[in-house]
Amino acid sequence: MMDAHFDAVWRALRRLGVPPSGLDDGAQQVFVVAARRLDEIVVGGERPYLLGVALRVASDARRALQRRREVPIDEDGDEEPGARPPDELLEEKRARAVLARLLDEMPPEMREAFVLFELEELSAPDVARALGVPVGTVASRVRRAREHIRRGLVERGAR
Amino acid sequence: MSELRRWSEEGATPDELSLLDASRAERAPAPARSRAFKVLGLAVGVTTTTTATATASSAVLGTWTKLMGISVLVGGVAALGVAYEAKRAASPPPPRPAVEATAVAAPPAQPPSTDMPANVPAETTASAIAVPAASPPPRLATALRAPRTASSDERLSQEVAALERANQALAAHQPDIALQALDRYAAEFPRGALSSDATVLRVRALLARGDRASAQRLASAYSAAHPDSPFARRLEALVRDKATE
Repeated sequence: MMDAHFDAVWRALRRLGVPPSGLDDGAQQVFVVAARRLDEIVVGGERPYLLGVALRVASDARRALQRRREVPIDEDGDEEPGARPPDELLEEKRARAVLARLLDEMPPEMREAFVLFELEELSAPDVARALGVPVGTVASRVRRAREHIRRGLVERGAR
Repeated sequence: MSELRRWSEEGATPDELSLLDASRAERAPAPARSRAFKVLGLAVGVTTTTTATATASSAVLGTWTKLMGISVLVGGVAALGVAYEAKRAASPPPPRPAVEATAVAAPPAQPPSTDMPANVPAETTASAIAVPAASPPPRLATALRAPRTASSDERLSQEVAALERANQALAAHQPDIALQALDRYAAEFPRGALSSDATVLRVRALLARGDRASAQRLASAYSAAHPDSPFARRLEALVRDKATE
């Protein structure tokens, strides 16, 4: 389970605003929780379960960050050299940096719906369960998040 | 409001899609992954669990490994996997895991404080046998509010390491040494988070040394204390499989 879903958990924590210094701890915390509650996880439902736990871990991490008033440093993970062309990697890094800034500007509930539905590709009902809101609310949050990103990209292009 | 579909199907521009793709392409750095595996007591590339397990449990573990994508399972985590698979095989899937915002069932940051274990009479085996008592599931909201300390991680790692020693002894066909390791685990972690896993290992060790009566007693005691637990079904299956060999 950990091997199959570690990337998704780590990535979701990052997109949900956990600072780089807290990503390792956060990911470990998610899997410790899952290991202890393994009997609750439905076969085939591992990913939504883990991302649901990641949501809570990230929420706590964001609160802790606000208390400490730290500014997260925008660090990107290092990919193994030679895996892909450097310009492609650079482009991806830039795209992730833009996305990180746009996500940081969103209210948490909008950000969470967008990360789980669009970036980690959970189904809308799974996102609704994870957030404890109706599916219609998920749809509205995701669409507002899209508008925010669209506006942000247009503004960046205009500058 | 129409049904929500992916942005790619609802008019995302190439620039917008490139942001999504860039995010999905990102992988956790290798050191982060290896640190996490270390903390949770999982080692990549080593299979220690299946070798000494009864045929049925090997098949179960194989399925589990395939299902969950864990190439390697060690010690208590392995037993958790067996229990999960036993549950999967024995019963229809329960409702979705509780991940609602306000009530997510999850373990406490510290090992659960259960009732005192019920001991099976000492004459059943040279080793003390403890059956973890049932306790209501704690809530994630509580767990996550609690300060997460290095010691809680460390304690869980120590529990995993202790059970791994027992597991390795079983794999080496040394059930007496496995039982000694389990005795040490029971003494050191009387209310351990992995005590059910320890019970599974103990039943396997008892069966491996030919003490089926003690294994049966322990399995029955555990089942009585945890009638709905997937561990109970696992234990019963272990004893039953041994009886039909």
